[in-house]
Order: sequence, then structure tokens, then C-alpha cells
Amino acid sequence: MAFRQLTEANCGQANPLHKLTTHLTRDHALAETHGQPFPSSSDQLVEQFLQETRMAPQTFRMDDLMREMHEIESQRASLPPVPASTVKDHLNDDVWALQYIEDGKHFHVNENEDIWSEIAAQEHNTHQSLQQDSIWAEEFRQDTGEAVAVQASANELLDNLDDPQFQYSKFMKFMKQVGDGEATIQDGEVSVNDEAVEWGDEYVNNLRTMNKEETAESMADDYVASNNGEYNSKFWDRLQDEWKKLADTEETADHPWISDFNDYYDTYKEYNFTEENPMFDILDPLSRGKDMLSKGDLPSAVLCFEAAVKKEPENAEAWQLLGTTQAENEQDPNAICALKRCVELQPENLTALMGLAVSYTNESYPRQACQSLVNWMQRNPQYASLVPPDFDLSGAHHKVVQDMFIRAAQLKPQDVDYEIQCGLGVLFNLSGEYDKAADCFRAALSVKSDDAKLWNRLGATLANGSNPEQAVDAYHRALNLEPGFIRARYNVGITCINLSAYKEAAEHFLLALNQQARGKDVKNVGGLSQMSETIWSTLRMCISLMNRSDLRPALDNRDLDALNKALDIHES
Amino acid sequence: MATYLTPNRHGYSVRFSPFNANQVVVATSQYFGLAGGGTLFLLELVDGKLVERNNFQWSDGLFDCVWSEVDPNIVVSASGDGGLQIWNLTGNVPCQTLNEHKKEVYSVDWTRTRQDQLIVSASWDRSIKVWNPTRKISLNTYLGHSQLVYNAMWSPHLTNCFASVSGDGNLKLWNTLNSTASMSFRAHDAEVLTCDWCKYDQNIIATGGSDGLIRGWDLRSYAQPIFQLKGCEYAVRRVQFSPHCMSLLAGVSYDYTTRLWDFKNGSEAMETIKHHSEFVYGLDWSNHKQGELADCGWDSLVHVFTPNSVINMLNL
Repeated sequence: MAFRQLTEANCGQANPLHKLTTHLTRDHALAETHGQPFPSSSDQLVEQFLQETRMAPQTFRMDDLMREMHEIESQRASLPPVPASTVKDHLNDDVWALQYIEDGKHFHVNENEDIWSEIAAQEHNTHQSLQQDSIWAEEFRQDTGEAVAVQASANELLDNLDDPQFQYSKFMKFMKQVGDGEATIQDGEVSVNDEAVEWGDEYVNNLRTMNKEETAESMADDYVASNNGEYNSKFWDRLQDEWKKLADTEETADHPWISDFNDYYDTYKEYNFTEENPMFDILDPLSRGKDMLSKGDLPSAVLCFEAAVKKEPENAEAWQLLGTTQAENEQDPNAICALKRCVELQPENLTALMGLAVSYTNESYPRQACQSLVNWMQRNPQYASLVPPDFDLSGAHHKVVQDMFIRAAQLKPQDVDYEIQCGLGVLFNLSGEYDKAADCFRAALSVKSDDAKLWNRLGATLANGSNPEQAVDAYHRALNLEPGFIRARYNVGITCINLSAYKEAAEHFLLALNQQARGKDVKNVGGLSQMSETIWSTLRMCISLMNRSDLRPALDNRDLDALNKALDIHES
Repeated sequence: MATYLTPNRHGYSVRFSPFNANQVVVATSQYFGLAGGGTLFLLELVDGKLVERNNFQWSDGLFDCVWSEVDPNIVVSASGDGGLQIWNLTGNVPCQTLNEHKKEVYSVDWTRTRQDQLIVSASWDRSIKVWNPTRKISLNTYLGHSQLVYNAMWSPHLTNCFASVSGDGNLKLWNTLNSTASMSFRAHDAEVLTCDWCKYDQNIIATGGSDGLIRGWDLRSYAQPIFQLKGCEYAVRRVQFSPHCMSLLAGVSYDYTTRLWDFKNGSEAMETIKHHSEFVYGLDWSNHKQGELADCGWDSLVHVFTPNSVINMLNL
């Protein structure tokens, strides 16, 4: 096999993917080639694929195989020159060079030598003479050489594995990401970068307007710091810390995540309407929507409100109701769009501002959440005096806002202001002080004990604060008050997972999805856009924890009926 | 069946404690072992459930682990940065690290015989090293394999003897006193990923290869395998003889299955268990409870169970 030669030449390089590929593709064909240790001609390659055909006849077709084989052969042929061409492309790009100088300084000595000697070996074999004058070019090549090789191996692996059972494998998905360049493995670290290209462009643009050397170094430092920083046991903790760092510091355009984020943030400008809205023809969708809301039918209410805002785009009340209902319906992105629109029309709408703060917190935009809370305070006649008149919104640091709210609470120590307590609860959630947050929500509940939303927030705070049993109680209170409260149901499902009650969790998720799907059935219109992506992906995880991988196809096809039957859920 | 989930960590190896029937240690890596760090989990079976007692972090992925045979609190792990870590389970950082290998250490084993207490480590740098756990420097390095060495296991019967298998398709037998192999033969026309000694016959050794086959060899005449077990659709990642029955073998594979064979009763698997959704990498029989097996895989799950066919076979 052609690529065996490549792996022999590069044996032992820090690329375990090579090994995996050889393990996985050394199939029965080799048992038949007793005399030859390792087949090296393309005939053997054909034979191997023919063998594989016999193993799984339904998935293999000869034309595809021949094409794949040619692809692989050409990949093999073109692999060695790849590091060279990237160097040439970037010879004039100082930006990249500076960044990689910084990165290069943090290499382990061992890796350097190995990669370098192996690349030297490659050069020898292919008789290519590359002029390596400057040090940065060499270091750069070492750095990208590894990432490019890993990417190529990932693609090799994927090409050679066509077995249907690998489709659902998380490892294969990870390989796809690496192969597509979405995730890069470099220096023993993985960086997943969905918007790598945009970031690159952003960065280059930013450079043109700022001091070149300064930003390159600080950017490189940030990049290196985020990659070589203190190793935490959970990757998500690290992400969380990064976000906290961002929220707490003044750094803006330098950090790649902020420029990423600025791109993403703009997507909240446009509301995503449901495609075929059966409520559109109704005479007074707004009142109908309020009716549905009082009955607890969230999905139908959402449809009504969408129709209402389409009919009257300037109606702030409609936008507000749409926003708050979408939040309860576990659709935070849409909630944010709608509430923003409402605030544009009616800047003093306090409900919308508080709702925005909560949704931003859920979607992990702490800065925006703080800004909304400050706006809320500014517009609130009782507390507006606490906000300094020249308060700069971009300086809405978490600590500052927290202080403002605490002072607001202290203004009236006897009367508990339920909204201030809510705001404080949100802020303490942002800073991770879950005990304090729980106290605030309990205080708010002492004023308004029949508010399902509050019970849900209390539950979420308790769950985040690692108090799952109490969280479940709070959620059940919320669900008793409002059985159609999708978000509360989703939350109780998550808590069940943490308590290892997987069956119950799956039941809750399915119930929630059924409720969401039913919102379509007014005119028996199909379509699945109402159902929340978050619920689907969590259900998927739950199913695999339950060891019910037979349900995977149903999950992929979003087949609610099949899942209902399998888990014994009766749609009432 | 008891199960434990190690989120974001993919299991590479699981081992029962020789002292405590209910304890297992699991070596795991982040990002499937391709990048990031690794964690060693200490789990205990309590009332039929697996509970985490402790976990130990390392800056590189952990590929194998083994318990000490003399101290109930010592575990050795092998990692991707070429080092071995000796952990005391009561602490948080390794009490000793042994760094000599130039590449990933893929396998580590502790002597099964009582005479000496030694560690053998096999690495992708094609070398095998033997260590005294109380010293920082290796006692000897064994070169001879032309490809990465995937596994090296001490013989439970013969002192100072260990076997090693490699990507060059060979099984080599070594005596710690000689720096060249005592015996070497071709075991598979493929990479050999695993080997294990029979616990009841000192001459029998089994190897598993990336051709999906498990072959048994009698070391007195190794021209032909004495048995060949099939069933795995993809490479066999680990194979282990049962400590309670001479002919019972378990194997885990890249085809997501754990299989059991009785090599005296044919070459087909007695039972195939598919309870993982990714490659199954780790396997260990319990020495204390007859028929109890632990396995772990890249789906982050660790299972401890007793297969039905084994219950029948051993009349449990």
C-alpha cells in the first residue's frame, strides 16, 4: 500500500493518527499475502478494497473505490511538498511570522528536534532544495508541518473508513473536524476554530489600523497564553475562565475571541421567523397569543406573537411578549432578537431589559448581560439615581454593576424589591456565587411565590451550584405552576442526568420536544423549526448514556414517534 | 453491570487492584489521546455501582497503567510525553517520574513473579526499558524491534522473562539479563498490538493483531500458532487470558466489541458484547472475583461486568 511507505519513513513522529490509520486499514487482505510483508503496489491496494467490498457489499461501489484509491494515491504523491508551498505563500506575510516566532519560543525541545530531523529526512528523500535563510521560516514550517500532517492523516483515516457503524462515532466526528481544518492539533493542544478564516481576516484588518508590532506580539501572547495556560481538568472550565477574563478586562479587538464574537453578535440583529406560520391568518394574533400564554401553551403562543409582529412591526408589546415567551420556550437566540427589537422601539421597557439580561447570561454573553442590567437600572425611576449620569456602557464591568444593584437593594431594606433581587441573582450567577444567587431568588420568591419563571431560575441556580436535589424541587414547583414551561422541563432533564436518572431525563426531554412540536398542529402543518437544538443534542447524549444506541437513527431523523414508542411516552 | 462515565476523557486502559477486589484504576486521555492531557481515575465498586474515589491529572495523555504488586497504594502510568509516572494514591502528584523514552510510552507492566519487583515499559521509540521502581534510572534498555513496540508483558511463570510485540509483526521474548532477544518470530502479517501469557501454562502466549486475529503460540514450537481466534472485524486492541480458567480469553477491538473465546472449543467467539460506542481499548480480568471483567473505551465509559457465557462456563 502506497501510504505504508510514508509512515515507515516518518515512523514515530508525533502523529499518532498515522498509527491509527494503519491499525484500522490493515484488514483481511494482508492475511492473504503471506509471502509479502507489506504490499506496496497499487494492485495490492485494489485487492484490499475488493476484500473490503466483500465484507460490506451494501455500502461499497467499485467506481467510488477506484476514485478514492486514485485520490489517495495522488494525496500520497502530493503530501511531501505541502509544507514547502505554505512557506512560500507566507514568505511575505510578517504577521504570521511574528506570531509563530512567539509560538516557537514555547516549544518543547524534544518535539523540535524530532519534527525538524524528520522534515530534513523528507527533504533528502524528495531531493527538494528549499532555501531556508531566515530562522522564522524554519520555525514556522515546523509548526505548520505538524498541523498539516495531522490534517492529512485525519482525511486519510476518514477516506479509508466507510463502515456505517463509524458514522455515529464521536471520534470520527472529531477527525472530520481536524480534516476540515476546523480543529487543529498543534503542540499537543487542540484548538477548535469555526471561524478561523474570518478571524484571520479580522486580525489582518485590525493590524492595518494599529501599531503593527505591538498588536502582533500581544495577540501572539494572548494566543500562546490561551494555549499554554494553566491546564484545568475540564476543557469547559478553561473556556469559562477565558470568558471571565474577557468580561473583566478591557481587552477588546486584540483577543481573537472578541473579534470572533463581534461577528457572531451581529447575527442577533435578525429574528428568525418560523417558515409556515399557521397563525398568520388569524384576526387578532396578539390577544390570541396572550390567551395561549395564559393556558400555558408556549409554542402556540410563540406562533401567535410572531404573526402579531409581522402584522405590526412597530408594536413593542408584541415584540416583548414574543421575546419573553421564546425564552420560556428554550429558544434564547430568538428571545434575544425579539427583546432587542422591543427595546429599540420602547427603550424604557423594563421587562424586556431584564429578560435580555437573563437570556444573555444563558448564552454566555456576560458583558451584554451587564449592559442590559445597567440599562434596566437607568430606566427604572426608582433607582436611576444610582447610576452615575456619565456612566459609560462599555465600562459595564460585572463588579461595578453588582455594586450598583447591592446599593439599590439597600435603599429599601424592609421592602424586598423582587426585580432588584432578580437582577442580583443574575449577577451572582454570572460570577459563579451560586449560594448568594439562590438567596436572592428565594427573597424574590417571598414576594411573588407563584412566578414559575422565578422558580425555574432558582432551580437553575441550585443546579449550577451543585445542589441537584433541591434544584429538582424548585423545577417541579415551576412545572406545577406552568406545565408547558419548556425551559423548566429541559432544566429538570439536565439535573436528572447529573443525578444519573437517565430514563427520567430522556422522558422529560421527549415531553418537552412533543410539546414544542405540537405548536405546529393547529393546521396540521409539518416542519420542525420550533424544536430547540439544545434539547435535541442533550437528548442524544442521554440516549447514549442509557446505552440505547439502537435509537440513533431515530434521533438523526428527528423521528419523535419512534422515540416516543421506544421510551413509552404517550402523547396525550 | 457497573458503569462509570469519564466526560471528555477517553479510556485507554483499566486494571483491577491486586489487593482490593473492588478497586480499579483507569488511564484516560483527552481528545482521544491525540492532544491535551490525561487523567488517572481511581474507581471503586460500591453496592454494584462504580464510584470515583480520586483522580490524578497529567499534562499529557495516559496510555496505560498498572498496579504495584507490593504496595496497595502505588500505581504506575505511561504517558504520551515518553515518561512513566509512579503515583501514590493518597497524594496528588506523582511521587516519582521516570523520563527516558523519547516517544510515547504505550505499555507498562509490573512483574508477576515474586522474585523481583520490576517495571517494564514499551515505547513508540522502538525500545523497551526495565526499571526498578525505587530508582530513577532504568536498569536496561532493549533494542531490537524495527517498529513501534505496542505491548510488553512479564511472564507470570518464568522469572526475568517478558514478551514484547510490535508494529513490525514480531513477537520477541527477552530475558532481562541479555540485551538481545532470546527468541523472535513473526506473529502476524500485520501490526501486533497486544500479547498476553496464559496463566496456567507457561509456554502459551496469545497475540492480537491489526488483522483482527488472535493467535496462540506454544513457545516450544513457534512455527505455527496452536490456535487462531477470529471474529473481530477490525484490529484487536487488547487480549487477556483469564486468571481462573486455562483456555478462556477475552479480547477488545476497534469494532466496538468485547469478545470471549474458549480456545479449546473452536475459533469462534463464545460471546460478543457490544456495549461501547467507540473503540474499546482497555480490558482486565479480576483476580479476586471469578469471571469479572472490566473494559473501557474511547466513548468515555468504563464497564465492570460478568459476561453470561463466563457464568455458565465457570459454573458460577
